[in-house]
Amino acid sequence: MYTLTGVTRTYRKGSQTVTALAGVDAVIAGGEWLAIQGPTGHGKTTLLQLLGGLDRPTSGTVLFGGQDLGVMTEPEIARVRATSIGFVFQTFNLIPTLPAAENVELALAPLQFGAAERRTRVARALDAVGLCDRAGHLPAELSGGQQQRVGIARALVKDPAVLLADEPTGNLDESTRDEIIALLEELWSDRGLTLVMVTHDSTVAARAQHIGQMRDGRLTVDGRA
Amino acid sequence: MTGDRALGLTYLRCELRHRSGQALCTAAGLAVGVGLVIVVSAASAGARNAQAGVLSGLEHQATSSAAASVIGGAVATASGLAARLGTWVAAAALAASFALAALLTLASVARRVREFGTLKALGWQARRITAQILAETVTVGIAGTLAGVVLGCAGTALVSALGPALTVSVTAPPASLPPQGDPAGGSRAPLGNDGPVAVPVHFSAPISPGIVALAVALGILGALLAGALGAWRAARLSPATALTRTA
Repeated sequence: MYTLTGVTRTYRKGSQTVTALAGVDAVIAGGEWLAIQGPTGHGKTTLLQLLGGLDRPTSGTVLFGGQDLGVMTEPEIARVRATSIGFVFQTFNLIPTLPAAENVELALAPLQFGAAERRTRVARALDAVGLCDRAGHLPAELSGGQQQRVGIARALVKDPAVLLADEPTGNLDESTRDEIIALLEELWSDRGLTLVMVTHDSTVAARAQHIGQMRDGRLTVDGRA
Repeated sequence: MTGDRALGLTYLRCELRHRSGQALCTAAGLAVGVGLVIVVSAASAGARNAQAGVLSGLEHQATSSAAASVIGGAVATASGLAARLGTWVAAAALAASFALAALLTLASVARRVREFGTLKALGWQARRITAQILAETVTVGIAGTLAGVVLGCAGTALVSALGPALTVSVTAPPASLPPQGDPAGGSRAPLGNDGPVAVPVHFSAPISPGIVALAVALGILGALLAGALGAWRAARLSPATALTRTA
């Protein structure tokens, strides 16, 4: 699914150059669940953003299904995000003014589905995360766990090939965390998703097939560089 | 209605309802600007009419053409000054209302940076986000402009209703008068021979459709410019940067 070769990412911060990724080589197969751990500021989120086409490498290549995300135009890369990549965020990132159903439907806006197909997909996605009865509720009327479920429904409503999750349980209590991870695990195995999850939580990481460690901008997976 | 359009309208409606305070401020600012343009334009037209009324009245009172010219010139200068001052006031008010709309739109975009980053992560193209912001701003702009037209019409009616009934009295001793006589050889009586000349002038502020159309166009143009500025800022955002920005 993903092939990363010599990926670096540097930023200018004032007069200094900060290296977020210092040459990452990795292969992530389709249907794989990879958890990425590591200290804060060592490049985990940057790596996830490159995998999602939200950012571009300074050098090296990020191949997604054979396409180089680094050289695609912005409309092309937006199309890839719209069709193939779902995101789950630590802070849920729901639109506060829209009810749950419309928040989920936002992910279908770039796709050419008719109104009936949209309604069906939204209902199915909310059903999959157990929130059928909360479709008309605003995010502020939902608990943290429910908001994250809406976020997961929004990520999955378009049937993406990849789910990228950045600390999806970081803002949740322990019992809600277990519910969300169980849900993600179920969806991953049922749908054959490729799941890449950044997490600080070793309990969560232990559920993944593979564990990657980011240190100083370099990635080792299952102990191998 | 397609699902896409329905979602866009729902998003628009929910955003405007949620941010009604800011939307009202923007609309009110535009309304004041548009209303002032109408009132000032109508008052200027009223002043021109009054000037014409004075000249016509003086001619009917058989005033000498030279005296009428002097008086008419003075009236024209006064009304011209008033019109120019009014135009500047209206332009300043309109510029202030545009600036207010632009600042509020930019502030709204700044508060919603993470929201736009999320939409980009969901695969929204920059042009769709631009269209969403423009739709929000133009909706507020249309509401403000319509309110401004109502405000302007009401203000103009008030000016007409409260406008004083003017009477121009001209009394000039012969020594202070300009050279007497009608150059064209007419038979007008010299001013001052028969005492003061009183010319009643009715002051009213007429609204022309052209002025209303101009005010509407300016109001909507202002909203479009403000929206375009905000949309441009949002479209330029890198999704990675937007997502990591704190609200």
